[in-house]
Order: sequence, then structure tokens, then C-alpha cells
Amino acid sequence: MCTFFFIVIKSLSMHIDARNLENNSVIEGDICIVGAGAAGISIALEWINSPYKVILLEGGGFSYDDRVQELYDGKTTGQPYYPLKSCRLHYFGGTTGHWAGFCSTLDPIDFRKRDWIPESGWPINRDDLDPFYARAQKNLDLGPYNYSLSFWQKTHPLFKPLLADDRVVWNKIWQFSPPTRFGEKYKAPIVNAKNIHLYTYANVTDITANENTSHIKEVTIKNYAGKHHKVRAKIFVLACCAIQNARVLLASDKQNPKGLGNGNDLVGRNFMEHIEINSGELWLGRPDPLHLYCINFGITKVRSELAISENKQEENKILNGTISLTPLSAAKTMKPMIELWNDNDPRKSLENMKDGETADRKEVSDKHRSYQLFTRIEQAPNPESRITLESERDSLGVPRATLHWVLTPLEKRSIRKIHELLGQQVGLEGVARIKMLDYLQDENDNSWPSFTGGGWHHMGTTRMSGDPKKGVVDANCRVHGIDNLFIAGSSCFVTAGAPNPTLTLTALSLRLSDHLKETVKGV
Amino acid sequence: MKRSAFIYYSLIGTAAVVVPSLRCSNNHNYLQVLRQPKFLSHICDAATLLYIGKGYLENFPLYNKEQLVNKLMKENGGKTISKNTGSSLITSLLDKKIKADFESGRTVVIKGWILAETEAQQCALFSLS
Repeated sequence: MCTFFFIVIKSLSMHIDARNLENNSVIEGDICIVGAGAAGISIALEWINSPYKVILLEGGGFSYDDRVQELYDGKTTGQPYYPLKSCRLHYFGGTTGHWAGFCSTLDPIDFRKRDWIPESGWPINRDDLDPFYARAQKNLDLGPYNYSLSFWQKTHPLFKPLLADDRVVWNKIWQFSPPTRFGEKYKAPIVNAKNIHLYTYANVTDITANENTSHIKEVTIKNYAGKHHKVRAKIFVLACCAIQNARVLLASDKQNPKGLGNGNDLVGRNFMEHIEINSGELWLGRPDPLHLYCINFGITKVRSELAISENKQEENKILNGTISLTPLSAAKTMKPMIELWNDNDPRKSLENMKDGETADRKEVSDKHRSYQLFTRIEQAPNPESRITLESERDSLGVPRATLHWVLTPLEKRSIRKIHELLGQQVGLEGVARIKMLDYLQDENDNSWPSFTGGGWHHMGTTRMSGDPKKGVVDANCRVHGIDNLFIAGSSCFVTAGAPNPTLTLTALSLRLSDHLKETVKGV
Repeated sequence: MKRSAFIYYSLIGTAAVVVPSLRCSNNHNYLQVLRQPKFLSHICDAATLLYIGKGYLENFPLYNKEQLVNKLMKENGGKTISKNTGSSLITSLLDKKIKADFESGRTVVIKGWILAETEAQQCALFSLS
């Protein structure tokens, strides 16, 4: 009886471990999604019970496996960065396996062409993404799709803004996911769906196009069990994260030595991160707990960061960024993230981070006179900030990625100007004074201090543009010049905005999914 | 001496002693108020005010004590602070001047602090006193 049930369950489950397949298997479906993180899983969920056979490929299994994680290792040059191996998680659920759940929307200005920011301007606008943001909220277990302060003040009467006038500095709301671990929450719906075929230990090592590289024929998958297989589908979606999407396109160089979709030498360029860095101190005239701005990890559902209005960004020709507040007494005990996240093993780096947060949790509810200012700011798109391939290959034979992270004087000038604007406003209202940290004090100093960090947010390496000379994918995330290859995730971002990218990349993936549902009918 | 004459000369004598000392006291007070930025004094210790003041003078080395005093006493929303102006009125006028500085962008960055020009000059005066 037990054996019978086991057989039935096994046959209903559409999970296949590619290590156990007969070598050289050929897998066929309608849609092949490469990567089972927030983007890939969000798309797959949309296709459950559809008449289409969806192949979902995940390089790892259902939990951490260092031999798989090691495939993400690579070099970093330029601005010091975290170890590439530990930046993203390589198993079902992807980096949602350890993300912190910070969510907010990009602002309308983020989508616009800004003449002071090179290469800015998306081919879509915020209105285009709004309905998908609303849907993405549910995937991430967020609250209502409302990011206005007045809305949240109705249920949070202690949410008192620092400034009465919001014409220069306004309150940008963040919502916090529990955080949703996609690998845990969506494993059952995916593996139980009859038409979703999840293959684990299925690392895509090569993409094969037709002779003139206008159509993808198949992808090659490999694993460390020594097996390799082919996957054929009508439509392929790369959803492997910004570094790996670029890496696999560049590495697929059989037909074109520059790689796939790289006719204009754009794949891997314009790598963007959020610069996340301590930047100043806020000294209040009267001690205040500033409930609106404080966070207690795992408990806080909503909070605000201080943002600069769109007209002031334009007037001062600066990037978009926000400032968060942490009681200074707690912040002083915390080490910079770039020092804490220093281990190749993401589990060890995460432990280091957790240890660093302990002090913050204890002091969050008290009244404080002084707060640490922490800036989170977009970096300007910059072709020199990029992913390339090195000669060294991983254990599956794929060239490793190198990240050359480059910042420009615009980022530093913007951080400084944001503080000047905030300093002016708190002074005008007589509530506080601002002190910028030393590294911001010399206007002519474009260097970055040793504690400069990023948000582990990788964006822009297959940027979106209506013009193939300016972007890798079009407004529907289709790779220019290839009729059946699409890209999901933050690699399609044109600019980074201030918020953590997960909500936006999920929204963009849902938009892509809707587009694919129309596309697949005609294939 | 007649009683009335005694009272008269006594009053004159008292006035001769008290009035100059009052003037002296006022004189002392107005400088005390000028060199004490109200908001900053609330959030910073004396060493920090001194640090800011010295920083201001590094940026604007041509200012001396007299020039700073004159600068602070002038142009206070159409009113001028004099040596006889009361402490609370000086404070109030400087408050308004500081607000006007922030409003019109007359701010300076001294040792990282984003300050109204007026309060930075008050710190400078403090460092010279």
C-alpha cells in the first residue's frame, strides 16, 4: 500500500533530478525557463494549469550545495566588492533563500530620460508596471499595493514624519516581505503542477542558436554527476540573475565569438549596484524614537526612508537615492557590510551579518537624539562597469565571470547633495542638524572610503531599450535579433532607482509572463 | 545736609555706579548671546562648537572678532542688534536670521556640519572669545 502511494506521488510530481537522467537525454517543452529564483518561479507559477509544457531548470537542488554554489565564483576588480560566490544563492528559490525582504517601487522619474544621467530612460514607464507591481505584492507576501505615507498613517498613528514640508524631502515607503522564501513557499505548487517540469541540478552551460543566431534551438545542461542533456523549447527565458544571465550569453560563443545577443557589445556592460553606505549623522533638537523610520527585523512591516523630490533631483542634477536612520548608539557598534560579508560561503557571511545587527534590534524603540544616516543610491549606468569572462573555467567548463565594478563622481556628488538638501530642510524647520561623514566633506575628492558597500543588487547587464544599439533586450524583454529568447530579472533594468530590486524584477517578470502567453499562441 | 539733598545726591551717586555697570553687563551679555548658537549649543558640547568655529575660520581666514560681531549684529530682518538689545531679543533675531539663511541657501559645510552661515559665524566668534 505504502509502495503504491509512493509510486503514485512520484509519478504526479514533476520534479526530476537531472543527475539521475540517462546521459544525453533530450527534454522538450513549450517554454524553458532557466533559473528558479524570484523571477523564474514567478513566471512558472503563472503557467500552472495552462495547456503548455513548461520546463523549469534549476542549477542546484532544494538546499545549499557547495559544489553547485562554487559555480558562481569569480573575480572582482575595480571598486572592492563582496565575494561573487556568496552574493547569490544557487538552489531552488535562489537568493530569496536569504534575502531580507526590503521592497519598494521605482519612482516615475526612474523610468524617464534624465539628461544629467548618461544612458538613462526606460522604454516603459511606471504606469506600465503598476498593475504588475500590484500582482508582485502577492508573490512576496506584502501588504496592500499602496506606498503613500498617508495610507499607512491610518493604521500606524505613530508614523510622524521628520519634516512637515515634503516638497524637498519626502517619505518613501518600504514594505517588508516576511521575507518570503520562494524555495519553501513555492516548492509544492511547482512540483505538484502537472505541466511544470522542474529539473534540478540542471545548469545551463551553453545556448545553441540557428546558423544566423536569430532563433534558439536548444540549451545544454550539465551537472557535476558528469551528465549532460539538451533542452528544446519554443521559447526560452533566462532568469539566472544579472551576472549569470550575462555570463551564459557571453559564454555561448559557438556561432558568434562575442556571444549571443551581443552584436553591439552590450551584454555584461552597465552593471549596476546600489551604493549602500554610512553617510552622516542626524542630531535632533528633541529626542524622538522616529517610529516612521525605524526597523525591527522580522517585525516591522512598513517603514519610510527620506527621499529627494523629483524636481530637486532635476534641479541639482543628481541620482535618486534615499536615506535610512538608525539610532547612532546602535549604529556605532555595527561594522560595515563590506567587512561583514567577506566569506565565500554565503552561510558564514550571513551569520556575520546577523551578529552585526544585534545591537540595532535592542535599541530600536527608544527615544534618541542622534541617528546614523545610511544612504542607498542608484549608480549611473556606466558601460565600463561590467561583467566579462575570464580564461579560467568552472567545473562544468563554463568561463568564470569577472565583475569590474566602477563608480563615477556623479554618485559621490549626489550623496553629498542629498545631505545638503536634507541638512537645509531640517535646519529650516528647526528640528535637527546634519553632519556628513569625513569622506563627503571635500567636494573635489572622488575617492570612496573602505567601508563603501553594495546591496547585493545586481542590475543592468542585459539592459532594456527599444534601440538594439543601446540595449540587449526590447521593451518586452526579448533579446534583440533573437525571436524566441527572453530575459527575466534585474539584468533588464535600465537604471537602478533607490529601492531593492526584488519587487520590481518580480513585477517585470509577471509582465513578461503575460507577454509570453500572447507570444506562445503564435509560435 | 538737608534730607532732600541727601536723597538727591544718593540717587545720583547710585546711578553713577549702577548705570555704567548695567551697560557693562549688557555689553557682556550681548557678546555672550552672539557667540552661543542656540540650536547647536543644545546638541553639541563646547568642544564641538569650538571645532566648528575654528573650521569656519579655516575656510574664511579673513574674519576677525570685530568683523564677526558686526556681521552678526547687522541685517536681522530689518532690525539691528545693538549693545543694549536684550538677550532674548538677540536670540530671537538670530533664530530668524538662521531660518532665513536655511531658506535662502546661505548654508556652509563646516567639518561636515551643514549649518546656517549665521550659526557658523557664532561658532567662529565663540572660538575667538
